[in-house]
Amino acid sequence: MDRRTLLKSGLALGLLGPARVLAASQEAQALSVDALPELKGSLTLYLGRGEGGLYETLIEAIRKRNPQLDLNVRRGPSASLANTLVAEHQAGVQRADAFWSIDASSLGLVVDQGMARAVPEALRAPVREPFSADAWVPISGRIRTLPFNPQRVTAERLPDDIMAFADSDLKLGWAPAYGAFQSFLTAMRLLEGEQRTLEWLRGVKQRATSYAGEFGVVMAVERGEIDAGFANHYYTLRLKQGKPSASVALGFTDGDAGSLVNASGVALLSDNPAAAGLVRYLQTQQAQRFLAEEAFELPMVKGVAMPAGLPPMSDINPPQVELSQLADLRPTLALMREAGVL
Amino acid sequence: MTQRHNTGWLKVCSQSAMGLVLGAVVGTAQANGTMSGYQDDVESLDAALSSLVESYRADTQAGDELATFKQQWESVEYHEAVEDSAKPLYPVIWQAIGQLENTLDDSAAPSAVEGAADRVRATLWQGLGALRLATTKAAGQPQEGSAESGKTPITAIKEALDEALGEYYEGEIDEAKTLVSDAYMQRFEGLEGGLIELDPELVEGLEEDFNASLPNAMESGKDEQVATLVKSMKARLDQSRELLAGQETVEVF
Repeated sequence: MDRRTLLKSGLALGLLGPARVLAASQEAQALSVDALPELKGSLTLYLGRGEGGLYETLIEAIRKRNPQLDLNVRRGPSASLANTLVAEHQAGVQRADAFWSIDASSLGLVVDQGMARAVPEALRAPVREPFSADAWVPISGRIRTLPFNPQRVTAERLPDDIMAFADSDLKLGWAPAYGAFQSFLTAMRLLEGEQRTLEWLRGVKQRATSYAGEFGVVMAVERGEIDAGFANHYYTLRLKQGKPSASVALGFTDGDAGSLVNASGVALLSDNPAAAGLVRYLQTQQAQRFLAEEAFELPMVKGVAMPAGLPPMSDINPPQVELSQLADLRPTLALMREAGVL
Repeated sequence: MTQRHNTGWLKVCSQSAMGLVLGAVVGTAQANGTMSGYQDDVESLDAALSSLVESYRADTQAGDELATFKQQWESVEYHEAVEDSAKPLYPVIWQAIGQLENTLDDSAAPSAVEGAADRVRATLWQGLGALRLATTKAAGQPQEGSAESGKTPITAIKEALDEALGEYYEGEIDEAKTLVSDAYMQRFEGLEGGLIELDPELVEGLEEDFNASLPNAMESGKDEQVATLVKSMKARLDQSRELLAGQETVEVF
């Protein structure tokens, strides 16, 4: 049994196993909010809508803890805010001090315009490996997974190479119209090339049932309609949280697009010290734990436990992909149309 | 050009000019100003642009006038209204201003400066058209960029479905589908996490209806099915509200 198999088997054990134990032993490294100075002054944050409105909850908590901070928040879809920031920049206008986006591609758009300030070492140091805060600070993440039904397929039968699914005899499920799936496929295109991605699409299409969304994929796995599927991690964790007996477990591929991690993050857009201060609050033990426990997102600060039901990050091997490149969906959509998937 | 045509232009302009699909095409009406006030603002900005072009032709301080124009644009109520309620046009206006600035920086020919000023002028008037359209629409989405309107997300989603139904009956199928998609992406996806733990089948059904059943029925022109689906989705959204009402609030710090 290799490392991947061990990983898959461990996850199949359920939610309240090793991950809970891990939580108690690793959190010492993250700063407590009590160690941070109070934020003061005026700060304008552009905020992409986040998981379950929980980003809003975090912002309100920061506001409540820092009564002398005049925090102005502009909300909207991340891509729309990124376009606005670029347009303001090109017009010579500086309105935002920081941009918290739910996806890396929107941050990439802003960074590519040279708008992001250098990330101070104090914000870079806490970031968990293998991630880094080169141009923006990752706050939380989500990972591509292979939800599978352990009553229909053993962990050992799941390929740990995403490309191998095209030739497997598994009954699969996917949601090709879903944004997260298209980002995953874009990563595959960047890593494997267009021809191999096209062949993968054609191969999987032969054995895949299409669903309207990725939660539908997970539910189909749980009902046993299909053996396995492609979906972001949190759908399975959410389902298991509400229904611990659900017949679904998580598998991961090894170092390819099948285990892509996408991240939310903050780009600093001005030298306003409150902008970096706000990021430090988002990096605290309490904020990171909140994101992991309430939103089931991957905490991006060292020492904070992964969401219950996920292995430690050290056991996951995401691919090396420049996340900002995931914004270029057009060639991906063209491939999907060529394969008859869209 | 009718208001409907304006909306179509907005879609094309925002997508082609910036490469990324923006969110809602037109939001709801801005509450802090009036249409006549916005028109006054645009006329004033229009006049400032004319003055700028004249100054440039006379080789005077057009750069200073542009700075003044930008301050004026940022200070008028029309600016805030476009930012909130005609969101796709907001960056387009700034882009046009940026292009005007480039022509001044490059000491371009007066005709080029005039052309750039005309493009700014056009985007300003198109923004006014978008605001007019917004004032005629039923409120279906909360105001972006400002504090949320106070509606619960479920209420906002239900109103967006009603609005989509209205567009569908007017024959605006693409707009109706966009409203449905936005309601799902911008609103429902934010709620579904907690709901999955409470009633996964409910979430699965709504995911299917938002992403497939309703858009497909709209595309096929099946009036009765569209109406039935919207009614059923709204009932399940009410059910979702009741389920979520029992959730505890978690303190972060």
